[in-house]
Amino acid sequence: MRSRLAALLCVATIAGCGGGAQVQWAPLKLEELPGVDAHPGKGWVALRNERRIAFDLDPSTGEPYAEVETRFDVRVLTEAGRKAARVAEKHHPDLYPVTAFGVRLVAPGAKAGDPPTVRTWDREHAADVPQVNGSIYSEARVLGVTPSPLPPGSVVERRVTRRFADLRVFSLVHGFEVGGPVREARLVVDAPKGWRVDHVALRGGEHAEFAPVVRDEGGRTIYTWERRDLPGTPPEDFEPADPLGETVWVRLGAWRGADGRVVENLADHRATSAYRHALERHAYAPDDAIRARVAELLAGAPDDPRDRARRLYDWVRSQVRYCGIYFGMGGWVPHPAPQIHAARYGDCKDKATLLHSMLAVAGIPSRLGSLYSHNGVPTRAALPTVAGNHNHVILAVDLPDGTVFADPTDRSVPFGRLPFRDQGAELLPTSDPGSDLVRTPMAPAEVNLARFEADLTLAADGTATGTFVARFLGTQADRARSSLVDLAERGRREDLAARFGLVAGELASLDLVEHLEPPDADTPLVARGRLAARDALGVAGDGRTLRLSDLVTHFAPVLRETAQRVQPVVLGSPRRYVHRLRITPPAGLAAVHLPELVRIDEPYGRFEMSWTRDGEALVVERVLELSRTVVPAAEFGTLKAFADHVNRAERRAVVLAAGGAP
Amino acid sequence: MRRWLPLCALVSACAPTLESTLGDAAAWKAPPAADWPDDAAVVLFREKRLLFSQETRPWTTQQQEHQVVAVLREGALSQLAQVHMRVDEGQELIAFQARTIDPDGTVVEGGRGDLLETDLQRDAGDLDDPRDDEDRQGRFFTYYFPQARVGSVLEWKVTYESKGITRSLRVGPHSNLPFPVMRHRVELTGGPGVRYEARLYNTDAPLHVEDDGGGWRMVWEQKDVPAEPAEAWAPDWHSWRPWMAYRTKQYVVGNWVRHVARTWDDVLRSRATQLYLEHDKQLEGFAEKIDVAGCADGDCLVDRALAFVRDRTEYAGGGSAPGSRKLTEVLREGRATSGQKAFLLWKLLKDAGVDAQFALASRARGRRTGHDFPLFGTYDHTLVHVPAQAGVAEPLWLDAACEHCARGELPARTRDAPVKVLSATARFDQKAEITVRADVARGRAAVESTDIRDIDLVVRPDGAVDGTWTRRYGGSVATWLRRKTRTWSAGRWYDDARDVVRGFWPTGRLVSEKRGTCDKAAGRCERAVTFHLPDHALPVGDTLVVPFTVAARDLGEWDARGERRLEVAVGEPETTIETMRFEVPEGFEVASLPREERLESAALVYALTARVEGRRVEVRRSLSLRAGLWPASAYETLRAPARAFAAARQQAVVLRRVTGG
Repeated sequence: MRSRLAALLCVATIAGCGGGAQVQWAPLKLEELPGVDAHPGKGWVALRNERRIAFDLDPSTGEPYAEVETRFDVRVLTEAGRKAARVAEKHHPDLYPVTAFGVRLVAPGAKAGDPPTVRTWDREHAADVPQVNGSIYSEARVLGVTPSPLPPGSVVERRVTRRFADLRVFSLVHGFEVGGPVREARLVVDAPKGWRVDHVALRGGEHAEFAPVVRDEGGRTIYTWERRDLPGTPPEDFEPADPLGETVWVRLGAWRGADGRVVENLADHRATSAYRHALERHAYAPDDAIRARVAELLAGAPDDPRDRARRLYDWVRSQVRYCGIYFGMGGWVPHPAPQIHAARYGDCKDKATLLHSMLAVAGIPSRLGSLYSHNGVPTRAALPTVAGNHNHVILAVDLPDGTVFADPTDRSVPFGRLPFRDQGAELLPTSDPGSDLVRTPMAPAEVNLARFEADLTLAADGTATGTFVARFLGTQADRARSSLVDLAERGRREDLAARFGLVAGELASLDLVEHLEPPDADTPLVARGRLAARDALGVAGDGRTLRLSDLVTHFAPVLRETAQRVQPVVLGSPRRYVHRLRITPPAGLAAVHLPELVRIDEPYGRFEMSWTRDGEALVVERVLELSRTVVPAAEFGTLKAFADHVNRAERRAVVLAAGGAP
Repeated sequence: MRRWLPLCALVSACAPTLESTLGDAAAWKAPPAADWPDDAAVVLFREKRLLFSQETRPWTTQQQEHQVVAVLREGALSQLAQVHMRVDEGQELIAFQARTIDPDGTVVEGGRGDLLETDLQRDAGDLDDPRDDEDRQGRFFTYYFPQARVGSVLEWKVTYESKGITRSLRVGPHSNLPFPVMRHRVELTGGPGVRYEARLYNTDAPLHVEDDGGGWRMVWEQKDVPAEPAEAWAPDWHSWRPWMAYRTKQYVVGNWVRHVARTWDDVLRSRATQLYLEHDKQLEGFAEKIDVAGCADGDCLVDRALAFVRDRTEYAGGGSAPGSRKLTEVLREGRATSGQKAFLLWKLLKDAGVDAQFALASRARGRRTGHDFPLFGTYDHTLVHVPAQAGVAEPLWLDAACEHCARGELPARTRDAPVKVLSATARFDQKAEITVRADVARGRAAVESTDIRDIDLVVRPDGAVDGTWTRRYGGSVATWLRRKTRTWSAGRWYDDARDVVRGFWPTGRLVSEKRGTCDKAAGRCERAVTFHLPDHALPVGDTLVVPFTVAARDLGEWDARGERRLEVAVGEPETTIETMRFEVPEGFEVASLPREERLESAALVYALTARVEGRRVEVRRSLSLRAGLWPASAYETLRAPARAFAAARQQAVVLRRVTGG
């Protein structure tokens, strides 16, 4: 399914077929507009970021529709800002066609005193190309214009209007922040008086207060949300992958139909659940091939619903490839289960639908459910609509001993656990007569473990060779498995060397990888082999220094200092890393100095590093646990202090010298 | 197998055509994955067939691609489970067959009706690309293999037809897929009216040519081609991939003989015509002139024209042709290809009264087609040649794409390169009179590539250091940096400076930074970063160990693992020098310095020096790269200095606390 960002863009931008109305352009004087002096260090500024939504009744259908106009004017301040002037507006010929389209470029003259260059593009002169966003095929398209010439100081204005006819499916959204600075951001909603417009604001993924100014004018009610002089969001380390700025979501809550009666939109998320169920239930029905497949997979299986569900889940997870092909409502409605089974490919809702169908054949109830598959920041649902809130479909398997959430899209996640991107998310199961939003569980750090052990012999030239064993559990196992299952021998060695954190060197051999296919949620992925590192010893006169960081890279987040953190810090899945290395020093050298034990225990995580002797060998053990997924911007300073504390501790070295010392 | 039966010449319904059905599925079986431990898939068979026929005027070309691939690991499915086919304007997809052959022998077939069809997918435009951005017309087809999995054999065959005859072809077993090819086959078939030539390179396999019912048929089969290595310092592919060069020299249409690629004149005719004669569109509205005031000779005019092109346009790579973009737009955008730069330079020189000609070179040196094998696409870089004339004592070769090259200087890519010098004049009958002359571009070497990093430290007794990192770039490295950073905002420079400090140690703190400044003409750039490292030096007892780890960690692409397969090719010399300097802090003396080292191979020279002057300590490592071509077997020896260079950052200066009075 499409991402929330794409969904946001789809309603935030626009487009469609039909040519439509001519765009009228107002006079523009470049010299009166803010330039680079007003926005030092910025590549571009959005002069206007506006969306205007007008609800009305279509007399031909008796159904309401929305005309959504985007007005986006950007001024290019430096060459770095030219890309912001590129126009790419998504549209769908059936679901949200474009009814008006225009782009105007006003570029300063080549020399002082030259008149500005003015160019305009209408629908006919824009590129209109298929839009493929992670899918093999989609009917969605993109109207594109690359304005040129585009010297600094140019202004590119776009006016795009799209028409949304199915207001149960779509909510309409406006993002006030667009990355760079914005002079004026505005959302204007215009509906016949007496119609109800529902709206909600989100900020940082959570519901927020942002009330419109409301006025009545000529038999219509006009709602206006407005912000001015937004500074823009600078790129930051560990920033959210999806924009978390302020958005306002709008939908038509109730309207008066052609017969004068009031018609209510979907009342709440429960009603949306039932509506979705009605849209997709046609796809659930199994055919004989599915029944035969279930019989084959469960032949000889014990009569334990959990075990039987796991077997079916494992087959769909591993044997049905991910592939998105979208016709019409295909972005939200799955293909029939028999089609998915025959082709053995489909997208998330297709795979969930097939598994649902197979479970039903096995007598195990389950419900499809949609959620926002996040990139580290779970985000709240906005308004009860089919599209916009969520970007992924999984399954709630209702076993006798409780519900198990299962995501058969992920190639390598065992039954009984969800991938990190689904954890802590609001899930809306679909059912008749409807289900409420539920939140999926978030796994703690200790179950997401990567443990590396090695027994190494150091040579005087700094090379270190020996054996290693790596064990992965939880989300760390998911990631390792999904990567290793794709790779051949050399690729696997390189992948595991990177997971190990090997600074310089390679895995010389990989003798064994156990449980690449996860038998259950508790069995670790195990890899063993030999490694060969180099440049592991520092040379200090006749002595040598040995740091773990010369063998294994830092695992604590490296946060660069910043004057003011704007966005939350996204740290990903809670997780624990353990490195335990037994190192035999080069012949004739022994440790004269071992760093002291370091223990750090803070709300963000835990760190422990110790160097000990084991006969002639040294043993270093480092444990790093990161327990938070998201840290608010206000806590950046204390989080950085924690990370610096950890990284500083790793700087300390063992000193080796001839003869050594007790 | 079709034949050129005489009867067919009379009956268009039986026009020669390429067989589009698939053979016996049982012939294909995936080999055991254990036999291919480092490969995610194996191409069992890849074939390209071309058929030139003239049953009715005009000539048509049928082109067929056939691939059979065994999936050995899941990673291959992301590349192999779907087939994308682009059909350009004037071309037609006339047949498609596909099938998934399961490990158990089950076959799932697909055909033309299973293709997903859209118009061509094209980016809405790349603002950074000054190359021509004209609409491409055509269709795009996708087939997705059902039931594909590890152990499956995926087979597809597609046939296209287009008007005319393929002018020339470079073809070989390699594609954009990184898999070994067990058997590769190329077949070209033509009627008696086609005269052609083909050559094979980097292979011992024979090229079979036979008569085929009055026409001819040419077949090349190559077996057991390993997956393409991804190796740094690789020579241009023409010198190591097995490949075939094919050209249609001429063909007959009725009573007319059409020359296609009989001579270089044929091949370069349209380019020469566009450059010299058919450029009205590109010159529309262009009225720029160089300032000739004070210029006493032609050399001065050349300098002025070079400066104009260098200062008003930025080289954006690619494109030897001037393209359809107007010069006024090129100047407005300020970005140009080598073709646009050369065209602008030529126009300025011409208007200033300097005789100049276009000369075409190949960016990839050592292409294995010589002057006797005219092939389209051989020359992809445009120079301007200024013959000796009044005020120009020596002939000049000007590569305007080299922005740090002065008059008379050439970059490594075009210095001593074979070129084709073009000239064209309009005849009385409006046709172009073309001449193509082979020559060699001569010039002095441009300023050498250098990367000089100075790290000046103030060492505190507790191990903290304050430092300044200054980096100076010269030659093509400077040009690379300038182009990479030319659109950087202040914030981007700040971010990059923080990355520099973070590279020293994660707890490092950026104190200030001086963003890069470049002298475009001189090929020089410089930037500086001031930083604080709280834990750099290591206090141990009465000593303080000051490591050289402020030096960079990278190994300059000499860090390859596994066996080297390709020759080692270095096109341009480059020198890297890193120097760490500091004053011995009060109360300390130098106990030991890194041992001096020097290691040299044919490609690299490494040196580490350390010295104390008064209380000032200086540790320096350097690595110089020489241009040349060496056998793969020499790789380990060649790179030894690079490895020693990398290991040198583990060296340290040991300071000892001075005791007593």
